[in-house]
Amino acid sequence: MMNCLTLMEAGQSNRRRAEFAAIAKQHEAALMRTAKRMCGSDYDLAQDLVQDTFVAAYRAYLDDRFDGRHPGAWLTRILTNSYLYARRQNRSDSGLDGELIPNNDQTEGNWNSKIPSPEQSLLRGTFSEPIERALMSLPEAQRVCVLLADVEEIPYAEVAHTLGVPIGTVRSRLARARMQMLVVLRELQKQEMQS
Amino acid sequence: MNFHKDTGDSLEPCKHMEGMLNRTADGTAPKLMKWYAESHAAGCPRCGTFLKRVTTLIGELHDIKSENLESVEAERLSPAHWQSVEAGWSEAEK
Repeated sequence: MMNCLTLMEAGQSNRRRAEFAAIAKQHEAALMRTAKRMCGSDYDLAQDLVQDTFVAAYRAYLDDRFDGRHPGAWLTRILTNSYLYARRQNRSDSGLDGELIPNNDQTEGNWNSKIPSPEQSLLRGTFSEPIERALMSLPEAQRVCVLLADVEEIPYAEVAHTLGVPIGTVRSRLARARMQMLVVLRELQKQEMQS
Repeated sequence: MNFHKDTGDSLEPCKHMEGMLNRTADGTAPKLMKWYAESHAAGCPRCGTFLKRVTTLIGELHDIKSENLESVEAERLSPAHWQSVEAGWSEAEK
């Protein structure tokens, strides 16, 4: 009887893992793209972030904290939380507050401290498309807002909830971010016309 | 309504219109706000240009979600990372 129960539990566990693995595989590329944009294009950091996301998401999946709807948005929220958590850890480790700030610090330490500044990403030329370069020019707080709201099309109320800020803050960050992106795009257009 | 006279080289809309124009562009403005913003933009060259540019920008941002940044390989977890994921999953099952 005991063996039979153990076998049934093992079978159920395998089935749940296979179900979740299918979801993870389906959204792997999209999460990698989002992670790279969050991390300023650093491939290794993005991989670590997606890895953490899949592990955290599986724990939530086993605890029945996933309602089965919109797995892409759900995973993106977990990815964002993992990113923000890592950034806050980094802030508190270095004795700074936990607010999102432009990621141009040079703190040594764990993987998230190696996130390059937008300026570094621009210099590296990783993002060749003007829209990507304009996105990478934004301060971190604004870039994350744009990624969630304008790229991933997650409703503002959910973005506010995920980031732990009022919805008005999301709107004002988006407005500032869009204005800056328009300025950067115009500059890039001017440079292109001159060359 | 208080309009700018010309578009010039500035990207900035009328200060009091920026929020409404953004919400009109991203589709979150209530009907009355949308009507007001579009009416203003129709008579104000700078706000009209701003509304068009922000609408286009948001459309382009929606589009990049489905575009590739680099090669397909660069958008997959490495085998080593997948191994760590599998180990994490096994730990979670305990």
